Amino acid sequence: MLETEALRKVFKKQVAVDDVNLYLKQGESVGLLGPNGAGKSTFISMIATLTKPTSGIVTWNGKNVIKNPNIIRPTLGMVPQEIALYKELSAYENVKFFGKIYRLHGKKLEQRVQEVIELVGLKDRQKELVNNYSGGMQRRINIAVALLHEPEIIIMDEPTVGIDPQSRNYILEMVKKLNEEKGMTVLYTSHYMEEVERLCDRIYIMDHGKVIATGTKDELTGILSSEETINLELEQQSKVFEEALREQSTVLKVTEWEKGLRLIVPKNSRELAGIFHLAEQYQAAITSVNIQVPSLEDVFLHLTGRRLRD
Amino acid sequence: MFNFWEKDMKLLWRDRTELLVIFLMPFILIIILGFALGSVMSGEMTFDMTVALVEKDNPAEAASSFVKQLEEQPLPEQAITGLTQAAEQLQPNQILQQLLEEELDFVTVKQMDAEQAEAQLAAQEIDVIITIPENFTSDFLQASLLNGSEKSTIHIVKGEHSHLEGDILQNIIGQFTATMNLETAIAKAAGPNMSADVEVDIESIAKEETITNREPISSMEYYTIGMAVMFAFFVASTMAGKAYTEHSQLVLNRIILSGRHPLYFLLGKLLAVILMTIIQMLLLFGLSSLLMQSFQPFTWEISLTILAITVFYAVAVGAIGSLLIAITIRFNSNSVAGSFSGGVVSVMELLGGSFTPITTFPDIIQTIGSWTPNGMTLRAYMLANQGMPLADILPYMYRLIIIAVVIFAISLMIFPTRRAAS
Ligand SMILES: Nc1ncnc2c1ncn2[C@@H]1O[C@H](COP(=O)(O)OP(=O)(O)OP(=O)(O)O)[C@@H](O)[C@H]1O
Ligand SMILES: [Mg+2]
Repeated sequence: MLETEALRKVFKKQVAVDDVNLYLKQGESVGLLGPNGAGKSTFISMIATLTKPTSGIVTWNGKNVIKNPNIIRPTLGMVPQEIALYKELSAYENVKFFGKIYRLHGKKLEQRVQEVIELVGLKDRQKELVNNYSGGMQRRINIAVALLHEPEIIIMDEPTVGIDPQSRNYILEMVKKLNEEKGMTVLYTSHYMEEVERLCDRIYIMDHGKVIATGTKDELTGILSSEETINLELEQQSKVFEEALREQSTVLKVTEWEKGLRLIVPKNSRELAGIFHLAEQYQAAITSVNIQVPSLEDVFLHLTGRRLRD
Repeated sequence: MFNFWEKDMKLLWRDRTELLVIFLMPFILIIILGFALGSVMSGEMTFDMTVALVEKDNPAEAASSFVKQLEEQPLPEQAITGLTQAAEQLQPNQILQQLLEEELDFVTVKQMDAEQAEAQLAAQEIDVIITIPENFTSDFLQASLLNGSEKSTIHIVKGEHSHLEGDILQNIIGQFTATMNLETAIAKAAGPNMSADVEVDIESIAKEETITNREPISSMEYYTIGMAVMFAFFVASTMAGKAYTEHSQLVLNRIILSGRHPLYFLLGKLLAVILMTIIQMLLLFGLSSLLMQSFQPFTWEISLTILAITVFYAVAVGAIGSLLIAITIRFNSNSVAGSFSGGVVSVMELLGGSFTPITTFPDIIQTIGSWTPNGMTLRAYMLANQGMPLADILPYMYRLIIIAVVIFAISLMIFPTRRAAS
């Protein structure tokens, strides 16, 4: 029901979003995963009709949204990355104010306000100023506001950045419930792969404005199904050992990590013996070995040579 | 729109520091300025001044030569008699002297000759020299009764040590001569036959045109008005500052998504600025008149005029506020509102005369100042306070509205009503 085609945004000379194709089916929960500056917010903001694309198309149920933004606006709930609330007003006053903007009034307004505040679990503290809330509580109210007008689709831009584990958990559960019980379509942006793994049916991985991989979690990790990661803990880093490993035809990739080296090797290649042999030869003391099952993190690392979070 | 406005009022109301700045600061400043620079302009001054009156003129001779001249004129007998009588009554020197000695009880007058006066001024024994030049009476009589064109001028020399006193006296003398000219012009227009009235008019000048309760404006009143028009600007810049800190772009995004026109946001702010300004100014005027007996005696007419000016000015301030807000949001920067309250306001204040009485400025600055919204409002308030009729004040109000409309139109052009900029 929501689809983008070659959506592109160029700021001055920087390409923030580079011909992104993405679709969302009704009731789906889709994750958009990418490191800082990948272009997630810019992309989302174009879908939400808040930023004009340089080129490309956004359609909602087949209709062009860029030409007529009002097609999507009433059905869209947008949770911005920054908290868009009045800190000197109470949570209740904030939600009520935005409710009025959405043309709710009277009993209906009061009822919706209470519903969404309850949904985000802040009923008891709704009269407090937002300023006195913890970051997590502020984020929850930020989400509540986006749900006031009962949108069909909710777009969330990193709603869990920098908050305590409880609030984070609460938010994730809440989004899951909205998606599973109310059938709300969700587009969830994050740079935490655990979150999208847990929440989303399908995942887009974005880097430098481009979608570099897409699919279900299994499909994505399947990219790495023929490989495995070996983490070697070393007493101290050894350049010669590293070089020697690189020259092995059976080792696909060698990267350093804080405690030692990380190797990517073909699955079941039985490379360990060779590795120990090399270690002995170059006098590198291995203190621990760990063989990893691939995660989205590894997929990202594999595709970009970088980790999701620096 | 009212939702937005309600929210803005709530926000401002909860910000105690801003409230104090907006409401209390001007009042404190008024008191400080009023008392420090005070008495200077006040009608009930607490200082004394000594004035040397140097009379080079000979009124008796002037009168008799005027009568001789009259007899040579081809005028009807009746007219000549009337004018002669008028000339005997019309002795500006005496009226002036009477004004100085009897009506202005803070002035001590000493008659002396020019040299003596200059010496005493240099020695700071006297504050001001008033010189009545030769032919003063003669010129005056010619001008006022016979279409003569020589101007009669009184010279005032202010001592360096006392130019404030000098200013005040100059003011009073200025008013005196203006009244004399006006009254005699009226008398002249009425024709020589009406000469009996001239006498009455002249006497009434001396009685009424000294210092009435409302003239000249007291320093407390002046600074109340000056501070009120100045601090109104801070309502505008405060609102713009708030628009910045409240992350307006984010809230605006929500408004855009709700399908509402983002202009409601700006209109709400405009309304809030207007209302806050009105409250602020009326509070100031109210406090000032209650606690410091400014703006007395109270009349409904003057109060309503002042209320009207306040509303018009508040609209202009609202427009300035919405311009600042539009710029702040468009460029997502607080620097405009900041430099406005820091620099632009001070310049406008200086030009508009909030701190220093405008009459002490050079003409060119007075003219520029009279085109600043605060400058024209200040003038309008002063006129209103002196009981001038509404007709004299309306031009200022029209100007205010024109300025407000222009500024608001500009703010509409700047305000981002569509999607976020590029
Ligand atoms: N208004 C703008 N003007 C110029 N460049 C911009 C603008 N907005 C974003 N960018 C640039 O576009 C790129 C993508 O930014 P964007 O905010 O979309 O990334 P993101 O994936 O949301 O990152 P984060 O995880 O930090 O939120 C960045 O390099 C950013 O500097
Ligand atoms: Mg972002």
